[in-house]
Amino acid sequence: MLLGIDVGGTFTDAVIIENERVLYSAKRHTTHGNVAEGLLAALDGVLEGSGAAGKLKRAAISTTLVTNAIATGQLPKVNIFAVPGPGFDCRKAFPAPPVVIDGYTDHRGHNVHYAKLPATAGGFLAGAPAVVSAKFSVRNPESELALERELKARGVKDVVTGHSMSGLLGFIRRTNSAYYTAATLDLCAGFFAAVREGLKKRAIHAPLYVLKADGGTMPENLAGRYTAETYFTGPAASAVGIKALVNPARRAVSLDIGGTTTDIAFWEGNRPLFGKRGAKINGYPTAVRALHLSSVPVGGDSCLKRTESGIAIGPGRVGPAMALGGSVPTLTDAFLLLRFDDFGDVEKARSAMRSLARPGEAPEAVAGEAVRAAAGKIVAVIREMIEEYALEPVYRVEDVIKAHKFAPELVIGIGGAAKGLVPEIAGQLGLPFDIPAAALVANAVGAAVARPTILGVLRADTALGRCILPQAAQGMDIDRKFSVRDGEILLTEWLRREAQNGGVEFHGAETLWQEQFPVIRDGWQSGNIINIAMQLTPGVFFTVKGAGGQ
Amino acid sequence: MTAPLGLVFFPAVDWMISETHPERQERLIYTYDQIVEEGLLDLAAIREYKPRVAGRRDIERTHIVVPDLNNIVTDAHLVSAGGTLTAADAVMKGEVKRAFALVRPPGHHAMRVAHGIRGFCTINIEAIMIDYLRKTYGAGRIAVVDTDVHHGDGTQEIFYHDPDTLFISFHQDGHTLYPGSGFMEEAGSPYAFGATINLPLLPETGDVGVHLLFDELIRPILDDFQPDILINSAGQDNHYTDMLASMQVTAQGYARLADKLKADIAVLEGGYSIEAALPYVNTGIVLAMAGLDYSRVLEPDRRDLRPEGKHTAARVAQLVSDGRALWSARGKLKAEKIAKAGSSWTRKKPIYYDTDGIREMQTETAFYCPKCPGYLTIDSSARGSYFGEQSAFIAVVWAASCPDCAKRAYDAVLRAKKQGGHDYFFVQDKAKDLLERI
Ligand SMILES: [Zn+2]
Ligand SMILES: [Zn+2]
Repeated sequence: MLLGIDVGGTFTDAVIIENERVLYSAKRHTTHGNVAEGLLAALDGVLEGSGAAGKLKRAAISTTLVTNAIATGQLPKVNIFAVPGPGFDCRKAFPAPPVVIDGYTDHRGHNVHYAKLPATAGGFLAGAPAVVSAKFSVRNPESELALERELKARGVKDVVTGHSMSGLLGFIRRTNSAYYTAATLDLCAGFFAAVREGLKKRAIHAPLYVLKADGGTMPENLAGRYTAETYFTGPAASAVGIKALVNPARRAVSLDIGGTTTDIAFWEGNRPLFGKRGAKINGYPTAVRALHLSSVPVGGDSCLKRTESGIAIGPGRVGPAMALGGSVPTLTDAFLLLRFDDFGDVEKARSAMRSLARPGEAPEAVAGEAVRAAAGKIVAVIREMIEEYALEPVYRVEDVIKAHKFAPELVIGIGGAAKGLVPEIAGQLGLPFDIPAAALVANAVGAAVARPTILGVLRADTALGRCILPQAAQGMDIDRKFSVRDGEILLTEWLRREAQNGGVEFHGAETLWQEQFPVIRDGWQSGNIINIAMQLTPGVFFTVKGAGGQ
Repeated sequence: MTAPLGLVFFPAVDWMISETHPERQERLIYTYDQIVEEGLLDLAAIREYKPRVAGRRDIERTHIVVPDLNNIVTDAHLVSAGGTLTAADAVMKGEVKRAFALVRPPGHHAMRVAHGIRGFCTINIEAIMIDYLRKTYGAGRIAVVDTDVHHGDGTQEIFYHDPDTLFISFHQDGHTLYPGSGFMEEAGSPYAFGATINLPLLPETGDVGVHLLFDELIRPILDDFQPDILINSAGQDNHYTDMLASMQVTAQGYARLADKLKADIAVLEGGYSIEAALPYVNTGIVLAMAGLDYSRVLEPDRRDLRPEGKHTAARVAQLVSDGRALWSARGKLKAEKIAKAGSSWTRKKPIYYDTDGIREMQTETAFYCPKCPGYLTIDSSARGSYFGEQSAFIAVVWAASCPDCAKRAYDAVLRAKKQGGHDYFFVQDKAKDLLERI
């Protein structure tokens, strides 16, 4: 049995899954002041009468904890020690002004000028967590490691290094990831302890996993170190939920339509498409790997207004619906009147629509127009996303020449307002649609069945005779014959060890990309440079056929 | 919203001329690493564009490839040429203030007629962009400042008869470097006299000399010419670490030049110090064009940099004074040249394709007309390793040629065909925007 809990903006859902079915599910209000409280209430809801506590093999949570802390600006002070070297003036690129430290490592990983913490930096140390980030630290992390040692020697407890955040290029992104990680370490430690304590009290001893923005999970001990990875996990949870519930074999657009927003993701070959370089947090680019998605401010609680040109959707959320006791007409009132939904007072929904009707116009006609308009807004964004995706830069001739447009063949809908909007959206796109059973708890299902993921990067430079796994700050000497295959073997080994250290069962790794190019000196090939990225194969433990039991 | 800079970045990491040729797959890889590590592609001031694929018509508007485009033009060329068109569109549509086509393979040695690859260039991507700007946006006066260390002989040749395209090239003196041309005497054909300005610098000229030349001569000429569109052929081989040349310009020197020039569109040309120069020069140019602070962009290793000598400064001073004299007297000189030429002007020129080992001999004749810019004929024969010998007779009808001149151009080609002695016959009709095979 697997337990999945999704802490959303409004509700916290919990599910228990066995034999590819959702056996139990529960929904409780999210408690924003103390997230663990609502989470445990949902847990109690799903455990009640199930007798499942002792049989759980894994507990996995998806939480808005980090997202909310960042959104509300409740972050502690973090000291950033940056080693930018010559180049772009990065001093305003981070969420907090950095202490700039001299030093430079170049693009081949030569440590041109060693970084050293100046004695006067002492004033910044006082108890706060620290970030240490150097340009090209993924080519050679020595500067960051030296600064980390110096800071720890001066009594700083938490030091987060740039190279441990990501093995990929992007100094500012790594620094920002490290910043948001450092700023949420304590918060997450407290939260995980409360959850662990709550589980123990309920006699649940299953290992605890946390969902990441890339749709994979990580074990509790890693989640405590890479806290920024848990940013923006709502859409990731819904994507894994879709993977589990639908497993789209064709190119698809998925829509998670909730009360306030609709999250749109694209699917190709069974997998959601990823954003190119990483998520933005609070407007700051980070190295957090996340799905390629857009949010449209249209949901069941969107208010409706009569304008010259027709029914306008939003902006803003004014819900609940009049049918549910609210004071302003919403999309949900339209759904109810058109019988897409079956909860709430139909007569109140009718009068909500009547309040928007032109003279002589039937309330049902108004409801129809509202649904068409809301669907039209979402369809417009889907079309924009397709255009934007086609225009994403690529760097190989072949990728330009053979470029194709993303052409979806299926629309998948989950979330509370999916039934009301997805048929109309699919109609406007001329595509079939699928609204899976258990769509209402898809996020919790996603968390429950998401496999752990770890992404690793390797760079080998045979001209220099060096190979590095930047995240591990692990370097080794190599000979001139070192090949891509050798790199893949090394990286797979590292992934296997990382998995073991996190208590994760290793179920295979896949290469995300690899490149090799020669180093030419004086018309002679002096070696090769090889870059490889691999990950634990992502996905779900099994697909889920729908709801059963309670 | 108009972004300060549109960047078309296309390193073509799967294309090379040959295994150890400098124009090879990883030429922009280190630049890519630097740009991504610096985070330049994430800046709000910079909007990244994917290059489009140039069409046959875009290329044949500028070039006559003998016998056909497909013989030498690869997909990579179509994308790098397409990248310049993407950059041009972004600027002309007002999506960005300026654009930089940081693309390869380069083009400024490619001439109007192409039998093969010369100077690593197959098709002239700037010239294709300029002809596109004229055709699509009706661009009038265009100025090109070529800051590559090599003379931009291809661009010069293509616009040698065009008084509305001002071509200014500074480069290492042709007595000491490929392609051996680019002296001040090459100043345009009679009708376009003074619209080509060549400024050959002595080896070892650096930031000081180049900036003096710019401030004292190039800037005043540009201010006087008042181009509608200003283009920078942004070669980077004047850098002090470049192994193909002997100049001393630094990343700061290039960035400050980009800042002063304020080109509407820059197009990457050469630059083969792919590790020690390109990452820093490109970062500097990108920041300068985006209006951002570039003062911290410095090469980590400046050991090879030497101070500039007196002789290089003396050459700069000479060029400034000769250049000013040429520019201010150009109207008078032009009238004299036209009077002397009469109804036509002919030049014979040998063209060597160093990359492909092809030798071509051309006779180019510009025919003048009282009512219009006239027309051009080209008699070209080439001897190359892979095709043996091939020859072509070509006429060019200018966009503003009068109907009589257009007819004369077609007649000239028909006559040549009747006489025999050539393998291929073309009319490049710029008015109809068509390359016709006769
Ligand atoms: Zn050059
Ligand atoms: Zn005429």
